[in-house]
Amino acid sequence: MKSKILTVDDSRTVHILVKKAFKECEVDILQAANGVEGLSVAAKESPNLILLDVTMPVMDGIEMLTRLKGDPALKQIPVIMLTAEGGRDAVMQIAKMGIRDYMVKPFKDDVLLEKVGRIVDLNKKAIEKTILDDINILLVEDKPAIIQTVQDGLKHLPWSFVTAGSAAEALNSYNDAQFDLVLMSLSLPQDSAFELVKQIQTVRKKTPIVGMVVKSDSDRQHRAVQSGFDGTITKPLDMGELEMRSCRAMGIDTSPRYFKFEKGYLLVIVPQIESMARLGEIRSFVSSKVTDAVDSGYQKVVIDGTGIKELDVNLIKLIIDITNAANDMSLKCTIVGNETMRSEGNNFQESKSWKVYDSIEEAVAE
Amino acid sequence: MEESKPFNADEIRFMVEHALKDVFKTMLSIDLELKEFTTMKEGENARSPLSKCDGALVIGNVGFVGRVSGMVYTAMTDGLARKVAMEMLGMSNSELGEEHDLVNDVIGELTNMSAGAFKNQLCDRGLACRLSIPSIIRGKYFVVEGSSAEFRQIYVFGCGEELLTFELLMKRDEEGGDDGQL
Repeated sequence: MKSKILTVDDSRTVHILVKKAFKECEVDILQAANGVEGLSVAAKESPNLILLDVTMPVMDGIEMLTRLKGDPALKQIPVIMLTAEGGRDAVMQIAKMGIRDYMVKPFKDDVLLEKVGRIVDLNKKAIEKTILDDINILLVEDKPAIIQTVQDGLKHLPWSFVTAGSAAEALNSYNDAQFDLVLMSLSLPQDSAFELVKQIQTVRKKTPIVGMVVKSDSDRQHRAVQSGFDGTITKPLDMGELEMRSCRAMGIDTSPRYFKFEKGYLLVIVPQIESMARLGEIRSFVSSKVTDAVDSGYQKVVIDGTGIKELDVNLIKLIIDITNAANDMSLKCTIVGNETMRSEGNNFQESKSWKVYDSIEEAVAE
Repeated sequence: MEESKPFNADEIRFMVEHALKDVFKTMLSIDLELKEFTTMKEGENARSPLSKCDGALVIGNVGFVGRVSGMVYTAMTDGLARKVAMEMLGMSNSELGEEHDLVNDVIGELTNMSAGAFKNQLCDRGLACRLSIPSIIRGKYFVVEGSSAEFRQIYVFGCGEELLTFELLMKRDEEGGDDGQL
């Protein structure tokens, strides 16, 4: 649930500045122009915090503060003064009335955010990452062999790992750094994984947590769902599956790996596919990316199959799907490949007629 | 600053310059430059140094009352006021619109902050006082009559290519009446 911050100030300028300061946070900003309005909004909305000016018409900040503190329903709402009144005596007098902090104008956004952030959860909006961005992962696993497997299996990505062999070690690491993902074994001793999840969520609610659990352990899989894990993956681990579930949990856009908008054409990179999951992943983006290409005025799609080492019926179907999607939107589609694609393509009815270019430049020029 | 002595013009100038520069730097990332300041004699009046500029002037006014009482006026051209409002609010000219209301509010709040930053320094020197609510005047020619002011200074600041003025009138409350306690 979003935090609510009520600003009470007769200046529209201050309202706009406060709203701007919190634009990256998931909070609701409420506004009032004087103490009378402020009390009314506070009673109705029960804000998590009030930012209060002193000098206002109708009812000033001091009177509003006095009435707030005298109302059993409102007195617990924390108040930060945000005012040009900053003489030492004034600050001391108001501080005695039970405020949480005092900010003298002029003010900087980062100072305001820091002071407010000490009192309410600002839920800063996460910057959307893609598969090409650096990711920091806390890997909680007491079996060194699995740690090694995960690190080796994901080393082709710009992901870095901090490892922890126990719940206590994991919590220490979590408190010390920001992570994009927590990968956690559900087989930690004494079922400590489930307690650890609660403790992690107390520190910072927004980090996604994926559990690693033995395939046959349906009880722990069920408990993971109940405990607030964002997903689970079964052991023995399939690295393609682990990568996909981790990306999904983090809300990572993996399409930049396969789709690039170049000068005048959409390049679709079709790699050697090891798993149906990866196939499904690429296929899930085709329609939207082709639509984006049309919206952006592109007229051509180039499929780059130079990374394919072995052509099979699944890859052929994928390439056909991409071609059809392009043709349906009146985009010309060409294929760049290698000798494998030409020779193995001849073995399949569907790919016999493909014209495979040697380079992207030739395919674009067509 | 001892209460029995007249206001120290240099000390006041230092406080005003510090206040204005801090406000404009913090809220607008603008470095003001003090071009000139004039200490007016009692009863002397002067037309605004900006009255030769084209177009209307926007003047923000805030008072303070307590052991020392006074008024401050910040004045700038309408063009500068709009630029300042756009910068402070992060708005384009079209977003700001043709109406004066929001520009007036920005100048009023800047005046409030400037007056506060100045008079808080007085408070910390034992001259407790509190601010009034700001008001805005728009016009071409304006003259401030400071008939009862004990101390009066006009500051001219460079703000980029343009000028703004800050006028300060003050007098001490001899009877030590309202001590500015809230």
